Amino acid sequence: MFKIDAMGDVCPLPVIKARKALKEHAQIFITVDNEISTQNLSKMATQLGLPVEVGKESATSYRVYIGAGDKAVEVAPSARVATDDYVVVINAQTMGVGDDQLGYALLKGFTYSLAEQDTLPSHVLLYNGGVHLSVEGSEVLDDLNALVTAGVEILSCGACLDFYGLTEKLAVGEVTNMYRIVELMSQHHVVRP
Amino acid sequence: MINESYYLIAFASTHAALRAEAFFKAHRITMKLIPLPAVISAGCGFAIKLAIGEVQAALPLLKHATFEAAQFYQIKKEKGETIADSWVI
Repeated sequence: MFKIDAMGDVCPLPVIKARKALKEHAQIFITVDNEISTQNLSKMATQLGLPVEVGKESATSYRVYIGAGDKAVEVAPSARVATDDYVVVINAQTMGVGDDQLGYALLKGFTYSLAEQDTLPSHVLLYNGGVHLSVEGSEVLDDLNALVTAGVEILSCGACLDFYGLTEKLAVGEVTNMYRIVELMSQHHVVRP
Repeated sequence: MINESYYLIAFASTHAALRAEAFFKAHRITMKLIPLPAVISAGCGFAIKLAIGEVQAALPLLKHATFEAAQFYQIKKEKGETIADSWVI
């Protein structure tokens, strides 16, 4: 069994280290010093379809066992994993301020690159102009669908969809409200394009 | 997304990439403007990702298009590795 010492590592490092090790080892055990990391590791293992077992040695020492012992585990090396480490907020149809055509191209590049990341956000929040991304005709629907497949929740602001007359056109994810948006943004590291 | 193969057209400038995207859209070619993969260049830039099934439709158009110093690649993703080969059209 492959051992990883992730004591003192902050999220998402333990998850990244575990994923890297799982590409080469059927079974790993990783030591971490906080419970949040054990939860993130368990979530990752579950999403990869791997058995996981968490052992608590003390309040600052945990062991997480991932993988099956009887057979080599086929971990898709490029399998994406949604984590609780961050949320992504998209609030416009452009990335950055300047030329709108460039900004739109950059935003499409952002969603493509986001879907290619090994460590994915727990949620993608879309509000104001950002809700144009999750509706019929959007050029990034395939990226958003890939994120959903990997376990990421795509949430579009309901008031915004209504304002733009897009409520009936929602093509991916769910509708949310301001309370949920504030809750998620206050509880997570927020990444914005 | 695990094992993937596609063609990629890289451009000398961002403007050229945006023009190429508009050109392909006008000709109803299914493609995608994506950030240039790091395996080709560490620099910042855009490229057009072209599905293998679209190449036959796109090739005749490419011969008439005047993209500045475009470079062509075949990209293969296998076991997490991205491999880029030059693609001669």
